[in-house]
Amino acid sequence: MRRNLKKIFIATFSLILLVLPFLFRNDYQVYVMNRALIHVILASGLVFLTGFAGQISLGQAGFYALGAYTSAILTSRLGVPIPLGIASGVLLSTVAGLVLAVPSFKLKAFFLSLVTIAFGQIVWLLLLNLDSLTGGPGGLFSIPMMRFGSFVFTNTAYYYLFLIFTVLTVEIMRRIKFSHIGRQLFAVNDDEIAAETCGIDSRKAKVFAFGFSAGLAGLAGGFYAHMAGFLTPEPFVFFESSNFVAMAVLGGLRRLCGGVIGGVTLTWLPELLRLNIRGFENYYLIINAGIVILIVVFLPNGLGEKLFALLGKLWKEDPQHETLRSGVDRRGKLQ
Amino acid sequence: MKTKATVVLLALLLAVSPLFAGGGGEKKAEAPKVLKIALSAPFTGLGSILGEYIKEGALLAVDEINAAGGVNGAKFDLVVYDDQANASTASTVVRRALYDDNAIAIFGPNMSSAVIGVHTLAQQAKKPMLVGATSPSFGYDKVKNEYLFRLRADDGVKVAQQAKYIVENLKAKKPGVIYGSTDYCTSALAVAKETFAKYGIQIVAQEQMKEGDKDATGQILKLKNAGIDVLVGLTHEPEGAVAVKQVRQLKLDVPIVGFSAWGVPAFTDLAGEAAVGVVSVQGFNPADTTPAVKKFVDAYKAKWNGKEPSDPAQCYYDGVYLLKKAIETAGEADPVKIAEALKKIEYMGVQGRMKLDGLHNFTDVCYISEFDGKIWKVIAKL
Amino acid sequence: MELNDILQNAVAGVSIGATYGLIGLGVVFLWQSINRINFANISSAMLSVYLFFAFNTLAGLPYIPSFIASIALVAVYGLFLRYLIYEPITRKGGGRLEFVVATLMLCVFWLSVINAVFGGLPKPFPPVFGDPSHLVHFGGLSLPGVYLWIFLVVVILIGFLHFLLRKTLIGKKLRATAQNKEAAELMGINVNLTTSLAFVLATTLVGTAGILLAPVYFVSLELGGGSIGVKGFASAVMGGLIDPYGAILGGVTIGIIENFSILFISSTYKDIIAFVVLVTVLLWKPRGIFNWISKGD
Repeated sequence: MRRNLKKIFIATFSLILLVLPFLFRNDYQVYVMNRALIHVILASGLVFLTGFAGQISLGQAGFYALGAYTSAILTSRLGVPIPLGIASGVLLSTVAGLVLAVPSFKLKAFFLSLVTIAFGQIVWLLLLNLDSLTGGPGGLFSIPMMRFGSFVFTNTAYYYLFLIFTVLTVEIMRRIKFSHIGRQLFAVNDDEIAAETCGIDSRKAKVFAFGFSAGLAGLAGGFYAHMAGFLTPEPFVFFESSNFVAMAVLGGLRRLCGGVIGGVTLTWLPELLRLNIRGFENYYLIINAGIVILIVVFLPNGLGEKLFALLGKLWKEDPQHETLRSGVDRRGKLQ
Repeated sequence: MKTKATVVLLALLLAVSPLFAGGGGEKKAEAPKVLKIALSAPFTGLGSILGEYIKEGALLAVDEINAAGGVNGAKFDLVVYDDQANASTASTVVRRALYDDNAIAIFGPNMSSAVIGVHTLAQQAKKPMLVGATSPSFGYDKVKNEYLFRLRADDGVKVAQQAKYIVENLKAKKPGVIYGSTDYCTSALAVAKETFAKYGIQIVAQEQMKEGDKDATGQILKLKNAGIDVLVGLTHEPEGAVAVKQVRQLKLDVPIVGFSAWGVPAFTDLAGEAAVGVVSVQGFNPADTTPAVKKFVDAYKAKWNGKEPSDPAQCYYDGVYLLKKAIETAGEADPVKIAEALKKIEYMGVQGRMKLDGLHNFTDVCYISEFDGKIWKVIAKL
Repeated sequence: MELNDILQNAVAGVSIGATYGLIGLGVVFLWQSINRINFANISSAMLSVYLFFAFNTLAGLPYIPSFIASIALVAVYGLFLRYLIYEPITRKGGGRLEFVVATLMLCVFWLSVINAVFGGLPKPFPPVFGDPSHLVHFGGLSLPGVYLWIFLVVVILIGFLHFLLRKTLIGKKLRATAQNKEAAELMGINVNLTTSLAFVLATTLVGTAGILLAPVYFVSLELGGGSIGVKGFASAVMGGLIDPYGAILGGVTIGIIENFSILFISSTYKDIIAFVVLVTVLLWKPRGIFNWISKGD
């Protein structure tokens, strides 16, 4: 009976996901959902880096920017086909991620976070100042939209593309998590010295984690560039980096779906708070930040944890703790 | 068990229901009592936080019009959004205004880079977008957007006047520039370079301040050493105040001519004494004694607790009235027809005649004024 | 470029650097007493300044009562920080990262609140330290008068913090609690008290710094959200996060590097250079370039 309940739930959820663009009433809502999915990809990378591997990064916006601008410049200036442009963006941001892993060998926590902050800021400043390349504060425009033959992607088309990649991302993360590398990451996260004594090369693990999360951010960036059609430096400021970390923490760092929940929630929340009450145009930010603080303070393990605890009660299943020690996960698609 | 299934399904539906909440629907603006118009302005974010002025100017007009009976009996309903002075957020809120709220027209964004990013949305939605943003890069000549209209003089005009004043009145030959890092500043610099070149003059030195910098000693020393004979200020207000104070401190004795951000109380309040003698280009000067300006200033002060209107307030005030006239001329609240009407109408605004020119600008008015410690005295009005 | 210009530039760099260092003091103190980094550290400065503005300019209270009221409120805010943010997170098993995120969001929260209440336009700070355009001249150099106040307070605060942390019993207790809470409790230290004291002192310290910096930074959101926050961290880290002088020296170093980058390299790239220097220091000397001052920790 409960198994059936779970199956119904998952089936309904998947169905809704598949027809979502048609449930939305206008293009604005599809657009916001697309941005949410892009954030999901990025936040999942952060969950991987911070939750699994235990490394903090307050500079993900830098990788996001590298992916976005690389693809934008290559496709709009040099006529490179879009998939190749995005792939180049991913490549560049991955390489940058691998480089940024080096400080993590020696530095911990706060000190590492400062290096990541510096990285994010340096990228942003370069975006601003290398204006012949990036368009500077005036922005980079006329970025080509994706197309399939003669069909130019609409927001609905982008939705399906992003959905596919989101699912892929989560699936890849799931496989990594239960693989050899995943175990190494968790071990390094729990106790680096102990892990080293077991013969785990913590450096390799960290490099992998940084590279992977940077690559995901770069992918998100590439998607964003082509969906928006233009790029300006604002989405890549430090404030956004801290937002991304908030998405990861809010969603739950130990859960595969942490990025999903955090990305969707923190993208939609400010939009839903844009209530048209006279005089309250700036209040939505206060409420937004307030809600995030409340969630982080009262649910430090993230919404994901709470959500699955509740669902678990509904299904009378034991909400398994997200450690590898509890064995193979038995949940469905998104876990 | 069936109840449990229902509970789960209901929970799911509840979870996704917010997506369908708010706005939307197919509200036709045909013969309703309410005309929904939207305003996108910066209330938070980097750069100029002029949102309050913009909103107050627009609201003043909306309330005046509604109190006088509205437009052909229908009242304006102004929906205001924070675009955070950036193109990415503007992209979201403009979409919301156009598609979710189904506004018949949208005012703003006010930030040039935001306009460049979103004006095609107005074109696709076939709804008029009236902006106060001043960069020449989205002028009609460049983007050919039938639905984009500018409510005040663009920077091409303003910087040209500024340069003209510098070359012809001050007879300067070696201008030095201090500029900020936002689009407003960098595009003004680009226009300035071009304009000076037309006079055969080159900018001798240019130094940048980032928004938030509180020390410009290095920059000013370099400008001083380059032997400039006039300082052109192309920064935002706080950086301008820092610069001007240090110019006085470091004894750089040259005339100072600022761009529009220097011609506002936000600058003079922060700069204090150092602002005396600074000349600036302004889009609007509340000290202008023309009756129409005075009427607007008094009405604004009366409504907003004695606050004096600053630059963008006036152009959005006029913008709302322009829209009213366009709707009346078009006969109905159909966005396409309104856009057509906007191209043809003529309206006497606060600063004088407003009529669309080839660049889709409604007006060319700008002032050159000098700050005497209390108000900006108009030297020339163009 | 005359020698006078270079010296003037140096003086300016030291001055602005001292402001970074002042904020860094708060960072060092909190680290030394509860081993945490509060990313909303700079918000205390913004809050005290806006409170002062509200009391003095809006409500008409004279300087001293306004100052006392603002600092008192900021001190109480420190307690709120502890009981509403730090305690719940620690109780529910959250660690450093959750505290980082919560305080990051808190910083945004305060920025939004102040923006909503006071608006986003910067306002001038009342002339508490004399006329803002008053200059002090020495040699061929000039310096705004307010910086003398800043230097004076910096010296006093360094002295106070050094004395507090190294020479008093309460200072030892604070540091002991930071090093190992359980051991401290076993030693009979009232950890509850020292923790509260740490939070209150940290916010008060930064709050006072804020009021000092307001003539330079204006009553503006930049004081709570601008680059000075990060530069405060950078200063503290350059100094090794150990001693208050380290933070000041770190800040001054950053100020000098910035100003001389402007003078000799480019005003456009000065920030990038400063960040690159920070990263280099972190990688090359993660214990700070000034940690030779400390007696090892």
